[in-house]
Amino acid sequence: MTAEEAAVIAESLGLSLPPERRGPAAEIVTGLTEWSRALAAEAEAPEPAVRFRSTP
Amino acid sequence: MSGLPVTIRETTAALADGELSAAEVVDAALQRVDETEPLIAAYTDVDADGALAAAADLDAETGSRGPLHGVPVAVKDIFDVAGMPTRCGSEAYRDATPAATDSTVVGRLRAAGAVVIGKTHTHELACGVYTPPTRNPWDLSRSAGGSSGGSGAAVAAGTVLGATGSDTGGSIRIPAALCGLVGLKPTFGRVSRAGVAVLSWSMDHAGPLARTVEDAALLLGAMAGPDPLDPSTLGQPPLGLSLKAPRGTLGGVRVGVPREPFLEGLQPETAAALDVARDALGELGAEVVDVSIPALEQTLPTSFAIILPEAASYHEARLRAAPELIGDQVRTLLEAGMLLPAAVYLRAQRVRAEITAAVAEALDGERFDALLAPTVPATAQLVEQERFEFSPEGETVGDAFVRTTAPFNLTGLPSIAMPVSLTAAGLPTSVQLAARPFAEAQLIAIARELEAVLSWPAKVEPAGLRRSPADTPAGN
Repeated sequence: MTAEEAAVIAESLGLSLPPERRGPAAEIVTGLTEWSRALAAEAEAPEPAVRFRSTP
Repeated sequence: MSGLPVTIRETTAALADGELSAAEVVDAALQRVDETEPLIAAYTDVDADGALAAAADLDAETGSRGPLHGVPVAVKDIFDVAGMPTRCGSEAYRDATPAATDSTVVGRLRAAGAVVIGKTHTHELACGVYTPPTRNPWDLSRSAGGSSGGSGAAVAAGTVLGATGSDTGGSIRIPAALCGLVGLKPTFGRVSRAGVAVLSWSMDHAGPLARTVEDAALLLGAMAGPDPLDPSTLGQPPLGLSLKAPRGTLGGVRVGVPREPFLEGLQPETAAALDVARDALGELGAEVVDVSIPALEQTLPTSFAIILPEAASYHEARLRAAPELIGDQVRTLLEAGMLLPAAVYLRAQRVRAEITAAVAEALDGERFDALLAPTVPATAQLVEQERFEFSPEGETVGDAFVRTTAPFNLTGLPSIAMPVSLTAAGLPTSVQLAARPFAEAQLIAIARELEAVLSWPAKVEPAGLRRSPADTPAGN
């Protein structure tokens, strides 16, 4: 998720997300989404390489 | 410290024998608050008048109200205390009105005879491991941990004999570890969370911090039990605590030491403390066995993918209405929780079930009575410290702590953090034991045996508060 995508989703949710706040939130979401995606694809890639960190 | 007994058992015995009155105990506690608050800032509010009045009431009663008769306690400021606001460490709650009633835990502590001295600082919204402005009594340049850091500092400083904490990803056990205390996160569903602000419905636990395992058990005994206001507590088996003196043996007990994610990056002092505890269990006759539970590798992302959206859901109204009142660190986590796809949350819940099954399989398959692990990978961080670098990639302080504590939030298993030793720098080290669901009695029995053979200076003034050489622990 990019900062721009975070802004679009936040707007659709009616959530105020000023420009300076988009990047940090998007980075956490990206980390967790990639982790989830890697697990979903585990049958094809049994060794998910994603290593999640809560803080960029 | 105050010159009074420093454990609940000793205090209640002195009260029962008429050597002390509840008023004397509470007055000493309040004096200790006055002495230490300028140094550690553990409390948000101190209710001196209320505490003295409660103590006078106890002294006027003919018998003992319960196992905590006359025991001063502190309450984390996410638990409702009648007549006091619950501000959750956040400007978002600055206008909170006084709670109309006690949370179930506080009501039960009072029913057992405890006297509430005041409310303690929490990391904002119980979502972090620093708890500003509170400082660690062992080293005032260091954090008391979090999120129940005020409770940890309050007990470690000797202002109270016990305190409440909440533990969503380690928030009882982390401050316990950093402050040299016992922190007991019971089984999910053992202690009611009614009247406690939510961080994450499916991960939140309430429990005690205390100086000794026995004290933590006494507090748990008062807190635990079914509560219609928290359906997760209904149907729980009896606690069944038996607080007999340690027997000096753990013959026949099997303890597993899981590798991942607990041992993937440890400060050397923490690794040494784990070895000390492991050896001590072995010398007591326990069979201590290494075990691998690979599913636990997923602890950190699984925990965050559950906690963040649940926290965002609970705080959504405040996040929408006045987001500027929430601090940057917590606000970012809540915003991420709002943006996270539902599919990721649901995947995390599925992974959580797999983790729970894997841990249960290890406990059953290996016939373990308990698991032993470092509570946290390191001793207390400096208040301004953001990262640890003892693992190859380095990690944030929060990730490091949650990595080793959250496995037992995800699985809901009871876990008790207990101090092991002081490092050369004078900081407490800690290990945790975990057991099967609702096996708190067995967990406490094992922890008491271990505690009895460790040389933790439970009755010594923490170094940050020490004023005389006589307060120095032997060997330091």
